[in-house]
Amino acid sequence: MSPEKAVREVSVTIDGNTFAVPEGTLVVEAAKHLGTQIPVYCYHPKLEPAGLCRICLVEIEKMPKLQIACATRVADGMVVHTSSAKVAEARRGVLEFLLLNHPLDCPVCDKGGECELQDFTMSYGPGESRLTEPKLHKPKLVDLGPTIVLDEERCILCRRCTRFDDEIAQERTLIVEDRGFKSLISTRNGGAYASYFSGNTTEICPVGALTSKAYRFRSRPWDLNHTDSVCTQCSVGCNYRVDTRFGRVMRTFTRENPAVDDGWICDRGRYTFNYLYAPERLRAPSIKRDGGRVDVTFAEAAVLAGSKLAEAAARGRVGVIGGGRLSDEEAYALQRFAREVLGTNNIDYRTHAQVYASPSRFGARLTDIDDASVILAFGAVTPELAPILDLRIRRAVARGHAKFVYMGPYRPAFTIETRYVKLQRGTLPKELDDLGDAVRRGAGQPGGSDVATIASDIAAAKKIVAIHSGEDAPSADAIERLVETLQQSGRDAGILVVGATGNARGAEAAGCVPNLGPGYAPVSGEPGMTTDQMLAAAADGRLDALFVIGANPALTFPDGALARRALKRVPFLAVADQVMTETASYAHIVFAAASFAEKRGHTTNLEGIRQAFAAAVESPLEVRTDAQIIGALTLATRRGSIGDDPTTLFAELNAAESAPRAKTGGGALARPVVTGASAPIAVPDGALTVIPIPHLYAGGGAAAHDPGTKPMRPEPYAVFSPSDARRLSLDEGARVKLSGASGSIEVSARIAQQVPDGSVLVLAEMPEAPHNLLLDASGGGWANVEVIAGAAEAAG
Amino acid sequence: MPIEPVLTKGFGSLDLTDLAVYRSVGGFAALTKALREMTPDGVVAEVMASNLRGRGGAGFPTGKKWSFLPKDGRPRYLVCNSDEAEAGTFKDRMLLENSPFNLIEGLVISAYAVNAKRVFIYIRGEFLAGYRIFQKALAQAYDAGLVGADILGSGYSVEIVPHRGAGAYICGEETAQLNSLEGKRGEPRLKPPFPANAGLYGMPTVVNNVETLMYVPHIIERGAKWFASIGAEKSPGPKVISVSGHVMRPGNYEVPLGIPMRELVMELAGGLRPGRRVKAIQPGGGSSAAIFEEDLDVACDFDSLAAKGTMLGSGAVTVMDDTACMVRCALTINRFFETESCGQCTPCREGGQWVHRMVARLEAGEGSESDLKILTTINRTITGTNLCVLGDSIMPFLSSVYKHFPEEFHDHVRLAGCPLHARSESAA
Amino acid sequence: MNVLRAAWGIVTGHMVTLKYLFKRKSTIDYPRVPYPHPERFRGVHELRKYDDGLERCIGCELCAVACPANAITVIGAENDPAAPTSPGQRYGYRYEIDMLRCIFCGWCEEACPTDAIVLTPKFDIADYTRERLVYGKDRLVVTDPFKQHLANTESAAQTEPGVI
Repeated sequence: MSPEKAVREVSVTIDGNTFAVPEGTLVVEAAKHLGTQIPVYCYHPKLEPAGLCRICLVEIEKMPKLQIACATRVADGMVVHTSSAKVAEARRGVLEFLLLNHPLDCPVCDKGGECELQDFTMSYGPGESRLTEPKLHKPKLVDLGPTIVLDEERCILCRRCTRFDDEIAQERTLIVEDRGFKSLISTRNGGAYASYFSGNTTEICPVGALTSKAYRFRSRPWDLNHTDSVCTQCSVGCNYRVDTRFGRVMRTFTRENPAVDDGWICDRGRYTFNYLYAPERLRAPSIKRDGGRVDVTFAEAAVLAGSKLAEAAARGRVGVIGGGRLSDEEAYALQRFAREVLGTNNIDYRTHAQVYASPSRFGARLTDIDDASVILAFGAVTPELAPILDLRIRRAVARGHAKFVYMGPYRPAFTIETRYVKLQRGTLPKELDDLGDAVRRGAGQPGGSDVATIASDIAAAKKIVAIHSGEDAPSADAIERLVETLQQSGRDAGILVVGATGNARGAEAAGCVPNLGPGYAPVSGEPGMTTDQMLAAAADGRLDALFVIGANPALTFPDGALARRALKRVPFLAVADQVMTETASYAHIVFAAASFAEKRGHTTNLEGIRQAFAAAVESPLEVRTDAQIIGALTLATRRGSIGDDPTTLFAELNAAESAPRAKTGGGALARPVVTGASAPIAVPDGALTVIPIPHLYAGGGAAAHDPGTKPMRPEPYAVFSPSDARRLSLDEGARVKLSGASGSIEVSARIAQQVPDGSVLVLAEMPEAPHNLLLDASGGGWANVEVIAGAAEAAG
Repeated sequence: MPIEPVLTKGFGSLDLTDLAVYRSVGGFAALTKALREMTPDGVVAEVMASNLRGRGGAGFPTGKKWSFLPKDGRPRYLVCNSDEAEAGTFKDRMLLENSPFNLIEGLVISAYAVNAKRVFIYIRGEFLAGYRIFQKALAQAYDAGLVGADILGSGYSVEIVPHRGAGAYICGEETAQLNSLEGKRGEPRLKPPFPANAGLYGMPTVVNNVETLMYVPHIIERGAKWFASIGAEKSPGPKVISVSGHVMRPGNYEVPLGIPMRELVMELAGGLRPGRRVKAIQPGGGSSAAIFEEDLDVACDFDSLAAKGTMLGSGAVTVMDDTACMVRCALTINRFFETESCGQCTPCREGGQWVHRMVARLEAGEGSESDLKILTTINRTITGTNLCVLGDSIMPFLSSVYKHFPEEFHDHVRLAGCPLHARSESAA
Repeated sequence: MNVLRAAWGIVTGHMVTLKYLFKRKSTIDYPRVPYPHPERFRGVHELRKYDDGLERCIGCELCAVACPANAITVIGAENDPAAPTSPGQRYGYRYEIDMLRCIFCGWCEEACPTDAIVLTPKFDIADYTRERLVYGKDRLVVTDPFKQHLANTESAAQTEPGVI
């Protein structure tokens, strides 16, 4: 990275205090150095200054009129008065204007108590109203979309929301309608405001105009207890605050961490907490008995499961699957449980298509995206898998003049300008090596191929960030080779791997892999079985017991048929989860596990930052944290002892990770063992190649049962190319049956231009229609299409 | 001291919308001169020497504006502001409809001067006739090789793009106009950056009024000295002034700047109706503060009127005689500004609406003394606190007439109605 | 003699009793007769309704904030527009006063923006369990429509115009 340009400091005098600030600082920011508050509404540190609300007017000497502090930049020798009589009068005036037609329904307003209009009126306001006529009325209950309700009367038209949608999310759905005092916040073409980032607008709204449906009228701000926490819904690990009342989570609120989330969180993270109170939440362990399920106490379940696992361990026929949704401490405890207690290396966190959750070298930071010149994404659909990371890409492309290149089997809908390169299955390593060659030769080679175009982009770039989803080992290695080439050519380059689960990287680092212990240290003895090997063994009757914790391989493992066969066949299956997943439904014993809000620990995000989260609420009586479940099972097996205290576990994990160990050449970390090569699949005549597509709200666990995110959750669907749709005489909305080699699902059909001919995009991880029934172990698959009902029939 | 008409020469007798006719009276000679004999900098220097000041309202020297453009090789744009919507102004409409070729000539010369390859003319949406006339003239000019590629063999090319507005007063503000041209909401932008630096599509842009640009060919043809010799010293040149209201002959008058208001109103515009006296005059459209009978000898130029606490603006003189109710006049003005506020700034959006409601109440005879008290203090929080000058235009007329005729306002409260109308009704 | 003296003793011994037998009684036949209160006595709360039967309480929790004894618990909820409980969008879904904690200071009454919570003269709330002394909406919301109407007219007469 180039050294920062020396920033010139200028001297500024604010309210009689002279001090130096960097040149170009806004007056409102300079005043913060002093601890002086200048009231603002339209100004937000993350948005471009707009100068609309006029509350921040200050007096600047040698300027004839009052100036807005939010858009005026300091100049050397500037003398600012923030509380002179003139300023006070202007503030009083603006507040009087804002309150003219404000409904003053503070007692019922969700923002009451944390409202900037209330606060500034108390501090600077006129004290009494001079308005004698009736107030003007506007719509009070405007349904903006699945998450937001708008009260136009409370709105002070600061436009933070529309500017957020325009500048940060860049979706341009929120607009201002009409003009003058009749201005209304509205949506483009009157459609729904269905953004993945909509919840942020309720937070930046300085008044109670935008309220979230999940929190509406549920509490008042002063009732809430705040707990600092970290979102575990995806691998970005955004920081947030969990607000609780009466021991119940009421809402979540951003807690800015510039290195991770930059002050925003996505709606999946924000609203996925109501499943804790949904009827589908597991509140007690249960065992399979007489063809049904019976609730038992935790102690009973632990003793039973412990003895069964111990029996299987004695025969060496046991496996442990899971870890990607646990905390770092729990993942560490889990691998100890497998290795020390069950005496096996058969442990694997990888229950998705993902095989690597971290780069073995050249790891980039999330903030590297901000000043990158080229961002290369390989099959990682960032808006769906890591929305806040995508927000960074959007900003880099919009502001930093970065180029965004996506390589994958189909073109996902990105908000930003994308250079798309279509990839055939398994061709990425070769393409990347070609690209590396082109860069080495000195790029800008003529030839209209995609690789040549990207090579010329890269040739002009100073900094490159490569993002992939770690689903294919040869591709991951090829990406690292490419980055090595780029670094050798003097460019700044790094890699980010988007995790399939929230703590995939933490589980990998804690040693939940068959061949590596904590800190990527190779295990002593033979490496154990990977997830696919364990499932294959279980399906063949070579395993006596499986312990699945915080994972749902039935829905997420690429070969759905194999996973289901294995889970049904294995003589003893114990599952720990928060809700009744498909995997849990096959289990002989199900443990009710605590959620992120009910335990404390650490989680590692995709970049490798380890962040602590704290328990916000208590779990139900028979619900235990995963660490407690592992600890109790250890006791029940009578084969050792693993504590369940996160503090002790964390200290042990740290000690284990810092132990000296041999690294492979080039300082690269050892790789988790990968089995099952991606063999080319033979698509029968007339069948379509299946490409699974991710969705932010997909998933079979919490997301499937959360009342807060249910409105945003799509119905299972498959997307066809227009020409395939014509060939199959399909209409948009028709009900179709997709039949693959080992199963079939029913979905509704959609038609989109971006689908390559001969392929069908199938929404992944929907429990109603599991996509993995169509796939084999390599993640590839095909489907024959059969129309069940036309669009009209399906709608009727 | 009427002068020989410059822009309005031949109006009413010649059909200047015909290229041949325009050419026969010496049209496009200036263009030939500028393109063949002068450098762009020469044109700028000539205009600067003439001290031509912007005819759109602000009175900023045009040559100076042109010289502000940064020389950094970015594409430049010239935007002609023909969104004439100030209450009382109707000069650009007349010029556009009657003399489109003069405007085209001015556009091409000015574009040449600032080295713009593309000119946008933002024509007010309601000027459909003017738009059609301009379009027709533009097509003729293109055919004659006066606009387009390689004009008159000089190697200089420029495109002129007419654009119709959608009926918002605020789009007459230059940055709002640029937003509107870009297809965004017509709302003023935060300044700085100024259009000269980051205007249309973020590029250096000059925005000039129709009338300003139409004087440019005449300055080129007859020289800066001729132009500077006309009218007041600091605001030289002729100007078309729209006179309306209670005068016998309302209309557009091309006069030298600095003409006394008395001469303009009493002689050129035919004076008032018999037996009537001047009560108030708005010298610069709806945004300007009023002047009164005792101020009639003021010179109509930018500086003299500014000294009186008002402005020449776009040159829209609205005369009100003693039958006019000042409260009703203020109501008309305030209703206009309430409707036309873009809604960005709080004082303009909410204050404008509140003032309108109070004045409406006073006019209807339902006002109270407390309303009047608010009106005297609200000026300080509305004026000078907004992003653009629309907010500053709400109060000047109201404040000036309230200061001059306070009893008329108090009477509206006391008598619960308009004393003037009550009198005329009882007389009837 | 002894008999007479004894009889006289009885008479004198009952003189005080006899005297008070014909005086005005200073006790009342409580609980059959209501105890007279000073006009502004602060007793048990009630939650009032409007004449149209809608609850005044909007669940704003300002009473709970004002309460110096932390005796009030309110949980608000959103009104069903088809069958609203109170005017507007929010209503008091749960409203509980712990009478054992309450110090009958009347601050809740002061804080209430809709005059929903009002302290009545009723004071005799003795009961056998603590649980029964936590009053919920079932015991706080006024039920007698006539009494309600009177209370509304009274408060309307006393309230300054313009204050809702």
